[in-house]
Amino acid sequence: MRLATICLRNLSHRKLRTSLCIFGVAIATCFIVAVGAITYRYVEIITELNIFFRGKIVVVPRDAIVIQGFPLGGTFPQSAIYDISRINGVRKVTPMVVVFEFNVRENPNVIPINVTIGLPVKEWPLIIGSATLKGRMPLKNSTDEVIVGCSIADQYGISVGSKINIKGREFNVCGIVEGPSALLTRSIIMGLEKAQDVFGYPLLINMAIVDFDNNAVQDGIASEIENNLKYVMALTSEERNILTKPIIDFAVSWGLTIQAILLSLSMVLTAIVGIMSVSERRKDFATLDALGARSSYIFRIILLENSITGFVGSLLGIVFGTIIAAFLASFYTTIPFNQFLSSLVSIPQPLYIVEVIGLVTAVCCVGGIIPAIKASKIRISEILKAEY
Amino acid sequence: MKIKTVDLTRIYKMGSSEIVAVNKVSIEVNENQIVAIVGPTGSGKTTLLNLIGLNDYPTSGKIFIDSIDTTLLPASERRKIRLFHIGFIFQSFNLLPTLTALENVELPMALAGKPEEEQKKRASELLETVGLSDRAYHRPKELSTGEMQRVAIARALANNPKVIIADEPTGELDSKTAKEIISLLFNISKNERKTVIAATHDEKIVNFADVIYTIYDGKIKLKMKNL
Repeated sequence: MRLATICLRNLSHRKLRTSLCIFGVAIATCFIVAVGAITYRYVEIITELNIFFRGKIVVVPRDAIVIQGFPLGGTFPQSAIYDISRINGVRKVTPMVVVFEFNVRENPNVIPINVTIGLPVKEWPLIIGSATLKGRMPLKNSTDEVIVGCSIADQYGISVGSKINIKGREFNVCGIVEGPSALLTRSIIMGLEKAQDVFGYPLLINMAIVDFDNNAVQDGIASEIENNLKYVMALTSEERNILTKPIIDFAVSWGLTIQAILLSLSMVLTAIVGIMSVSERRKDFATLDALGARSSYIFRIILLENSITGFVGSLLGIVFGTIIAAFLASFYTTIPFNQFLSSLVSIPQPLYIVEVIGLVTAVCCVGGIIPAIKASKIRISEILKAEY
Repeated sequence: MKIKTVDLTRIYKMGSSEIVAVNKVSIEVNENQIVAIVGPTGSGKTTLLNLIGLNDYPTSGKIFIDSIDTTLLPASERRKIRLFHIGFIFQSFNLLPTLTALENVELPMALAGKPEEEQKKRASELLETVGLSDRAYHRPKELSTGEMQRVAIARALANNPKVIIADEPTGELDSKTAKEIISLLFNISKNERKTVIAATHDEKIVNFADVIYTIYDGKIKLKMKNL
């Protein structure tokens, strides 16, 4: 007879308690997964923003909050483009307007739900890059054509040739862009002048991309831009990463703290249930001892029972957690829940799932140490003395 | 297997007071003997059996098993003796409630690390010996008290021990069932040449015993031999 058989029988014998304990672990795991998946995705989106403008200098307003070169707030005059382009070594300067939409159902939200990017039509490949494009690029100098991200297109049933209305202006959708960046999938790309007109940035921009000669020193050009134009920051790739690191670190540490609290709760829960279970089964453990079971055998029974509880609880928690993560993402982004269903399995990454299962199982196993020590110390003489 | 105790004493401390459960008990049990330890409730029978069965440590005195002083043995050696050489039968059966009758009998063999097939085969044979082959897959709560004690007897014999220690084996049985259990236990013991040490109130057990020790207030008052 295997040890696992004894453990499974013990667990199934106390169905209600086992179910409640598994349910408790599942709830904790559920939130670990939900928090972890959201944090992971958030960090991933921020990190992947760095694929844009690699090897280029990004110029943004000095008073803006910058995430991987994309500014939140602030503007500077479009005329700055000419000042920058006169700097020695600068090959090309591309003006841009980037507007993050933070309103969800007319309420402000901390996570942007979509982004509008305005830049000269001929420079659109700078943003679209190697992403798949259904449809076509806009006609030269076209001012009423836009490309939209696939997620927005799916959400609103937009296809190539559709007409859309943005802040009272009508646009023709000439293309739909698909991944790999989450930013692109939630983007509306339009001409620079149109974006300035729609969002009220008359002759203002909030971003400029600076390309420079191969033999030019990136840091030197960035310093010169900042020296010449006091109201902007000129960020190299490395500086953009450095500026973003605290945001990523904050998100990760916030996620880890919540997960650590929930893991501790799982451990305490399984420890309490384990102690109760050992108290009730004192006679059984004493009998095992009398029959000649090693202390380690009794120890392993408890640890295995707790591990099974943790394993089953973590599996259930992952399923619930994924659904909750999708629900939260849907709530905060207005993207319909059913759009997440197709990609539900990829919301928590496979490696993260394995980590969570391993971690929750291990934590529940550790939670069994105190009950296991108690169980392995029970002797038949104490039980019989109490009986008679 | 020969068992001998010398001035065996067990004192329990209850707060500031001390209870002498077993007081300088010296007995001898020879191979294949059936020994009955009789005495009123609280006289120290169970404590004495726990000491002889190496489930408890004496406060003073010695227990020799085949001339080996077990009080000097480490816990691991004492455990091995319990596992391989002593079978226990308890008054309240002490079957594991989550396991079937067959699995309860397999348990000591599993603890001894015997192969699963051997466990199953031997357990089935033992259940047949105690007349419970048709109840092998029932859990203890589905069995009568008599059936539970039969399973306990089968479990005690699982590792083919030389000594059976039975603590009031008929204490929770009606007289008819008690009679059946006694004949079963002692017939098997005689046939398989086991040493049996039983604590009891039951006269029927006493009648079967080769030697009877009477214990009172932790002290052996009388030793008798059945003729």
